[in-house]
Amino acid sequence: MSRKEVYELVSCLLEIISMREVEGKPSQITDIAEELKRPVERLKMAVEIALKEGLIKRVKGTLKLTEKGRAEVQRHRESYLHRKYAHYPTFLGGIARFFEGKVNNWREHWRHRHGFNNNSLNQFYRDLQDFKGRIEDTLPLTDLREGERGIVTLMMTAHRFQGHHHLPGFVRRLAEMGLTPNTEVKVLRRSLFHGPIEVEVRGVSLALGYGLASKVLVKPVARETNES
Amino acid sequence: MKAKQHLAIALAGNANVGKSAIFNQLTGLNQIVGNWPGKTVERAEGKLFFHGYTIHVIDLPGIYSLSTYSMEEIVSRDYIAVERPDVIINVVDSSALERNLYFTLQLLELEAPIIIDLNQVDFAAKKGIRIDTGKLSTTLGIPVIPTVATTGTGVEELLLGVICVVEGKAQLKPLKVKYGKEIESRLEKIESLVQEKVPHLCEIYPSRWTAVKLLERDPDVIGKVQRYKEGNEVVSLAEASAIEIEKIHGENSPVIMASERYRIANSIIKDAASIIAPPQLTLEEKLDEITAHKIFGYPILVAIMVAMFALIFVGGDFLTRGLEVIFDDILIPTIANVLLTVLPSTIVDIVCGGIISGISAGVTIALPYIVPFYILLAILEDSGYLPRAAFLMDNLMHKIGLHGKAFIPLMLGYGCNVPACIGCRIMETERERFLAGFVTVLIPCAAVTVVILGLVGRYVGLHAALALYVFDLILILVLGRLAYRALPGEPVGLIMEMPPYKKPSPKNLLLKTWSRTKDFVYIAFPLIIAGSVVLESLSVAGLMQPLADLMNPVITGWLGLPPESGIPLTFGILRKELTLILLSELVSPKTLPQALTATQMIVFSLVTMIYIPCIATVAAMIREYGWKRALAVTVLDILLALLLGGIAFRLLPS
Repeated sequence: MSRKEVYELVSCLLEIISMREVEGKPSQITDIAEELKRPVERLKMAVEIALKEGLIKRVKGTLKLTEKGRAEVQRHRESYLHRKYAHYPTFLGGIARFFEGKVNNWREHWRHRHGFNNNSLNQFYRDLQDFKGRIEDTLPLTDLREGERGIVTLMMTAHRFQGHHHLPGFVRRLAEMGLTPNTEVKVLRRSLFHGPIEVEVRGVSLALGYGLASKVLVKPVARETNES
Repeated sequence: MKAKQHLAIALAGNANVGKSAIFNQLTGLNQIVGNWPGKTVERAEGKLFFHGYTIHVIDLPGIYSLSTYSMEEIVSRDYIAVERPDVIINVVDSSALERNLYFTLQLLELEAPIIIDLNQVDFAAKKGIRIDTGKLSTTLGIPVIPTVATTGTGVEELLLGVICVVEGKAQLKPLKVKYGKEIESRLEKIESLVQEKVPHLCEIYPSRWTAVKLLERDPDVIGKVQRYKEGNEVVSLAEASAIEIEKIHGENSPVIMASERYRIANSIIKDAASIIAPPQLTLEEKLDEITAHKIFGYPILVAIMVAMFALIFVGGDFLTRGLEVIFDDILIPTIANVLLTVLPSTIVDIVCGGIISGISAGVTIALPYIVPFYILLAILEDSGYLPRAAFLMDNLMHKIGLHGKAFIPLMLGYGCNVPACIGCRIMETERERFLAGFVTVLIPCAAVTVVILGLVGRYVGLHAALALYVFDLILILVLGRLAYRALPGEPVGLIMEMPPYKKPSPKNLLLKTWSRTKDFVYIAFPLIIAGSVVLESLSVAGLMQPLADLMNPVITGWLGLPPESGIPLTFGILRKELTLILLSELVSPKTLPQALTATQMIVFSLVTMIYIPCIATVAAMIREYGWKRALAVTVLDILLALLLGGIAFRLLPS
């Protein structure tokens, strides 16, 4: 296994343990292997490394995250979101990201470069901490294609993301319109250039501005045609 | 003998559920549309007589929740809690039951006497949704009456249901909204503290509702509780509980409560509703697919707009000519002759030239354009096209810091700025409303189009007229962007329901047109008449020439226009098309192309287009934004028009 693969496997392992902890389930290597659909042997290697690094610990036969492990999960999640979604997925966005260089202090970075304030930053970290599932499995609603479905996993309450400003009340409003966490949404229509998207939620169609929709992270539901 | 009794009932429900159709069925022409005291939220009320009762009906604004997202929501919940209508009819769209029940649950929490009007059952049936009315009624513990508002089916039963509730014949056992255990235990504690510490508030709002709202961090309710001495204690307990449940659920407390309510609503519909046929692509859905298509939607939008305004101009022109004959050639001379026998001629001039020609101006110019415009607008509205247009234009509107919904008032502006200004109410926040209003009054209305086409289009060429329109759009974009930067506050993103297409009912169209026309007359006519009287008095007193001389340096010196154009521009405040009519009268016997160069025509039209929203629009702005902001916009527009006119005069080849 290359270093990159190992790194990826370890971060997956941490994500799964964190997810199971939020759900209140115990984590055993066999369960994790099943969830990840990877062979147990490889996973054992990742567990060894994680144990050596002090990211996880063994408590009564199950694996638990340590403080360090939890911090690592957090860092992994925010850097993933930053890499994938905090900049426009365009050439210019890429340049902006390049010039930002390597980020050492994430808190400061979000504040200075992405317009977060203290409140929204705290909410953002709380959202990340309680996030159920692997961060790699999520997409912003705006990345789904027409006809695709997703389950709402996280609403970025953050003040500014991808350059759009919004009233913080929008999450509440979306929830009132039926877009609550764990609801299934279907993208009915997208429009050209970062225009609004139309989604179906609880049997009603809603039009959402691009900026809003990009802050709703969903876990895509596999299309029936692909499964068979 | 049964004594005559007065009842107050309110219609409440989401937007696009056919609430106003029900209201129209109930009250017919017997309705007054106005504003809620101190708020720019529409208040429609009407009256009907039924089984010996005089029933006053209030149509509450269409809202999705009873939180404090918008003024409409605050107005509605305060009306329900404070005024306590005898019965609230909760109009529910059967084809979107879950979302509608979310609102019903909130009404139940307010502990108001409700009956449910299960509207649009025909449409739900078409979508294959079957609802067990009896089961729904037993689950919710309140009467449920199916109706079809567009045809009036079930409205009689609805009223009988209301009477049953009032006379205590209906057995009401309203469902208690129960949240999850972890929330309920905390709610109980907050509720008992509310009862103990702020007993006065409990006389207005149910204590449990207050507790729920505190847990949701509703700023309005928190403020109300804190007004009492011991209120802070309650608020801090609620805040601590909110943080606890946020720890458990990992979401914001308002989101948790919303999810909980949806969970309850979902379990109710699972019992009471079933989908019997898989939905097929209906004609309406096909129409939707084409008209909101990401590419084809735009040419269709343009085609609809062009067709609409062409129809208005042709139809309006035809009606105006007819009415002008009646007023100017028959009515006014007759009245003048009659008056001359009893009054001195100066007063007759003021009366005829001022009051009567003011009315005639309103009737002959404004109404022929306004009425067809309102009819077409109502068709676009009731069919459900407007949200599609807003969807298509969202991207462009974001450039001026607004979202797609703002396209609707902007589009109205091409017809008349008055309804456009009022139409800005669809925006959610005060800031957005003002921003939308600000750009809307810069849109050239039908009257300005008459001037531009009649002067520039006719004598300079259509390309120049078109250029003026394009220039205006650029100006709006630039000014909108500047205002968006200058106004404090955060912009809001688009969250809009896309209702399915429907065939509009003629009765609703006519009633809507009628009440809007009435509204227009109330706003516009008094000021048009007062304005004509003032200007007519000035001219009778011989002050018009000195006034024109006073303006001369600006008119001729800065704008480079012929000295005669000062007076038309002054009168244009009343109605912008007057500028052209008066100008051609004043320069006679010369014709317009003899009197004005091409550049002068363009400058004149440009100034007319921008310089001041007409007096009726100013009145509408005062009503919507207060006189300070209206004055600021007016002054700004005048200065802008002078500036741009002067620049155009210097830049254009003479």
